[in-house]
Amino acid sequence: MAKRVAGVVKLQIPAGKATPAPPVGPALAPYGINMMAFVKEYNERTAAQVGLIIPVEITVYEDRTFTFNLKTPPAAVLIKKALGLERASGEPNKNKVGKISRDQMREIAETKWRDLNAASIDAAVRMIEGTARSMGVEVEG
Amino acid sequence: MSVKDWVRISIFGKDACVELMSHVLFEHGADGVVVGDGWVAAYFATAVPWQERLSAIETTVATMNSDGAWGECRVESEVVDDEDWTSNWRRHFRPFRVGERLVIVPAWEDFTAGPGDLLLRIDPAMAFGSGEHATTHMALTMLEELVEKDMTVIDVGTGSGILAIAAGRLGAGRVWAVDIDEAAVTAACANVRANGMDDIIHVQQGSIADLDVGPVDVIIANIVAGTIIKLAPQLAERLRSTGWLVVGGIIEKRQGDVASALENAGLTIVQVLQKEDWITMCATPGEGILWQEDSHASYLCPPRGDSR
Repeated sequence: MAKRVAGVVKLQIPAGKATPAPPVGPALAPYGINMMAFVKEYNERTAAQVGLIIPVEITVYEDRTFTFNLKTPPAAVLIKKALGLERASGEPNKNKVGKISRDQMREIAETKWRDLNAASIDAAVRMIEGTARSMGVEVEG
Repeated sequence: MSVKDWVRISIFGKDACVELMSHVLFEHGADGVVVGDGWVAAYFATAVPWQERLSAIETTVATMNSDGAWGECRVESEVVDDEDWTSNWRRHFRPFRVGERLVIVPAWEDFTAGPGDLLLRIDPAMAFGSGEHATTHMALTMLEELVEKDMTVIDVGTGSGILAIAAGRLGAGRVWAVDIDEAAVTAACANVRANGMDDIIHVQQGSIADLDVGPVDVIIANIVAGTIIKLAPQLAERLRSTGWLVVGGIIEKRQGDVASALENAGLTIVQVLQKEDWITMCATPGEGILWQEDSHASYLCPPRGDSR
């Protein structure tokens, strides 16, 4: 018989650097799972992506076991990585911090494709474009 | 007494915009965020003036949502009790058995040992090793088979100290436990003391290179694949020719890499255990004579047939 799900927790945390401190601790403790077990497994599975934020969706079962799925990094993180940005603009309408090409956006859209709720790759590119503009990044073309 | 160490800052808005909302929190110094339907939240230490940060987040949200694309957006803050989550987890930690004789007992629980039971009283605190995780479980199973009276043991990456304490309970004469993490060393020292094993187990912050001991009978390194690969030559050097190396914390896809590293260090793998996606291996500088592959078996190669 399938195990009953007690809850689903979604986190965005730095690859390879999770700790039992917040947000992991407070998010998982109510379910009674061993935080260090999650931390160890997350860090091991994301060790090759250190430097990126890797979202994770944790399914906790009533017997206190858990499974998790890793997602692709948030679009904003991939945009900053593609442009070598430390920070986005605090005033995106006034202060621009960089310029992103169509090819770069398409590459990001393809990376994120499996996690995006987009009807087509062009629609996914438009989503990335929206994120870029919100960060104060100019869009080519 | 409660300790309020954290402020939780949440942004509420349209579900489709949570990625941008989490981006705002990261831009303002969050170490991670929790994501819900139409909200994101991050925790910040109250040691740093957080009201300024809250104000800056509110300003950024107002700027980024000037066109109303995030919907009815609001920012909320709440100071939270640091103890809530640690104590919650502990409530679910109950005594349990591993192998034939080992019983893991939370340090705060009363438990009466049965005949032949070897109790390990553990408070993992902020260190890894409650015994519940598959890797610790397999390492304990192997130690129960390997450790004999008066053996010498090194535990690399001791975490809560659970494996070092198990070695001591199983009869080891001397155990050296190291960990690079200060929190782990603190937890391990407390657990060693709670188990009355100060005279047998020496806990030290650092790596195996910092220990001036060896060769020993058993080395256990329940860490992660990358570190085991890096340390393999040092681990092999510290083993007696009749000794055993137990390595764990290896995710299945790294099994081959770790096996190669151990073999390159002159070791022969004699046993492989798997539980869920995790692999634990036993290797020896001597002849590996009892290799057998069986994913269902819980134990494959008793190292010394006449040991008990």
